[in-house]
Amino acid sequence: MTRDEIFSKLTVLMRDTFDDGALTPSMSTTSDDVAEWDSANHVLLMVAIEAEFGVRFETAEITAPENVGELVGLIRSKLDG
Amino acid sequence: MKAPLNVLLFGGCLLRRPLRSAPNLAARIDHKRYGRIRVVHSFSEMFQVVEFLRGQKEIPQELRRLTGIAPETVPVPNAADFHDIDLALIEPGSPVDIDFRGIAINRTAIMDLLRPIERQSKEAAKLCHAWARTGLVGMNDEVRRELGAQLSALVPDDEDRELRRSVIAETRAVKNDTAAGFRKMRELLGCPLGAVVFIFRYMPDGRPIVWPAGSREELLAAAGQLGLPVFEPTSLVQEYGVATALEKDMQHYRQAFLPIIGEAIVQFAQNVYERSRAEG
Repeated sequence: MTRDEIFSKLTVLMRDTFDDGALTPSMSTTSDDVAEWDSANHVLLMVAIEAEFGVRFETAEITAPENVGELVGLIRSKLDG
Repeated sequence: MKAPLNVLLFGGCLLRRPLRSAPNLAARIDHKRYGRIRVVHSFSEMFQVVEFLRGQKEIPQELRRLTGIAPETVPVPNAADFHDIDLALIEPGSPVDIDFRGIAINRTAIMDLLRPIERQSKEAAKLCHAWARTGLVGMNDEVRRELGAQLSALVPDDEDRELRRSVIAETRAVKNDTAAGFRKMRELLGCPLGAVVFIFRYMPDGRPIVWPAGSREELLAAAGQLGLPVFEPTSLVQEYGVATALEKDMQHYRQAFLPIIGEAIVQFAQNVYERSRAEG
């Protein structure tokens, strides 16, 4: 799966999780840029990502990504791994 | 084993509620000797509790609800050196110290204060969260000022109007240092300390989540430097399973699990005490 494909799926998950159908994240988007992306919703997002992509994050990875690009990279590394 | 042990608690509901539910608690742990100390998350709140108990710092009654000090709590003479305390359990649960007019305030109390604004609309709730998370705790002054001005305009006209507006305008946060925090607590209390890991939430399969990233490692490193025993609740949660151990928020313990985790905390406290005795 390419980064663009991952990003596209991730955008859908973010819109669902953050209850914002108009959300248009970029690779540089951080939690600071999305009002609903708080620590609680981040956990829900990671649960949704694991289910959607069939991956499993290590404990330290769950809170490690600092922007969408890093999250995409993490998902890709899991899919490639 | 001395019983009951006199224990000071500095932490949030993941430490306090289970301990209070531990079987046969009164015979084993006395945690009320210095009055009612409520939830504290940051080290500055903990220092403030000590200063208050010693009579070195006054907390105006109208601000008590923003702090860990209950309205009826008063300074205690023995707090001069805490000679009657056997140990303290410390659960740091905030990466930042939050200050309002020289008073260390609690992040949950701020959100409680903002609740009437949060309930006005979805947009107002987003504004509250963004101000608190990005502006205040995230220490982004531009966001704090900008969103604070918007938030201030939504403050309802009730008896807390001025307090809410003041808190929004004047509250600041600074990053705290875990090792320095533990070191200062040890100096202030002069008794054995036990460190308790704050787990922010759990994944559905029981993996623990710490927030912010790296805070658990910071605590473990600090405890290692200072030779402090550490209590981690994770293995017990995983042993029983999240469905048994946790509420739906995947953070707070279920009522039926409180005595189980409480028993583990009591045993940890006893171990901290015994270890300090053995080390002289």
